[in-house]
Amino acid sequence: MITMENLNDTQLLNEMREQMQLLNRKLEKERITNEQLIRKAMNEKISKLHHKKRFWMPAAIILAIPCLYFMYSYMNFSLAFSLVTIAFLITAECYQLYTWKGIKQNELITGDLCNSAKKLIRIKDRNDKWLVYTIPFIIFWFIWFVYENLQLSSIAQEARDFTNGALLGGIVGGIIGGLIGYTQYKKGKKTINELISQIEELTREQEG
Amino acid sequence: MENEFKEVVEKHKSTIYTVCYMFSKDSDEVNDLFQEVLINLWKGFSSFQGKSSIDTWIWRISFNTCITQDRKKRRHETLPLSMDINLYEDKDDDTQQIQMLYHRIHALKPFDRAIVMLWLEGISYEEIGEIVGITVKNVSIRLYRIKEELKKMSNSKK
Repeated sequence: MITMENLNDTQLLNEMREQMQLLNRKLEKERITNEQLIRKAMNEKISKLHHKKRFWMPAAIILAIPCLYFMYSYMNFSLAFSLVTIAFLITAECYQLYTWKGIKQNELITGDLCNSAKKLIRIKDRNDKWLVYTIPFIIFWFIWFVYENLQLSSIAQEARDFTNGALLGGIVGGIIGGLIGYTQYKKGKKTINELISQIEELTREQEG
Repeated sequence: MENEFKEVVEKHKSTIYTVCYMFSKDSDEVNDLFQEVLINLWKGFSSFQGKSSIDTWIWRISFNTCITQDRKKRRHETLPLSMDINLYEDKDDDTQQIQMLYHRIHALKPFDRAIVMLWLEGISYEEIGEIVGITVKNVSIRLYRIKEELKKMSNSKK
């Protein structure tokens, strides 16, 4: 058996080729796929096609009306706060569509590696821009949310427990959600930066 | 069309598995990626117009899925692959050789991993360029640098 220690430079590459052939031979003997796997992949397409524009956009607009009613009439938030909240949710949905504007999902998977990565970077870049506006808004919204709850509890004594619960839930949920979001954002950013630096490297070589 | 797709997958299962293996850290991740590649292949299957060869198309989709896949966003339940071997854990001589290859390739950056795998499979520079999206000249420059890096890695382990 050849070990890494006794290799010289030429042997290394030849050996890698042999190892690749060995891997191919080993895999050819395996079944790997099965009916269930392939069937599942084919069914996944249908659910994903309907996923974005066809379902969520109209659903968000239709759901906005009962949500507005719930916030204003049932939870007793002010009309302005309820409207701003709903408007933000609809804007977020619209921005999601803008993020994908001009990019077909198919292009991301069937294009050459550099092109697909560039498109993916464009999507991530648009998402980052969204965060620049969203984070200050969410802070502003949260302060407003606290203010609304304090107002409600000062008006109606019996509503105090409910508003305290909503406040506590909001704070805990906000912190946990914020931390998870930030961690995922950092992870995604690392992958993207790696891709950007590689594409730059490849393009630089191309220009040189 | 479904039967045609099944035949294509059956014919190229080793290629798909190899790419997923080289971009994963364990068997679970390979399972996950393999299924994501199958989904993407099926998504693009109806629009495949034969502008490139089916082999090139399979390589592209497999690499694109593995390089750009947002691994935190898994939306589907993972089904196990029909495998009697475990390339991460088996200890026989052949598997040890394959694991050596895995460690060498896995240590490279994602695009370099793709380029060197294609080269090891004996794919022409023109086709590598077409899959990666760079010129033939650039493929040869890049391959030279990758080979140097591999040699350096090998020497540092001696």
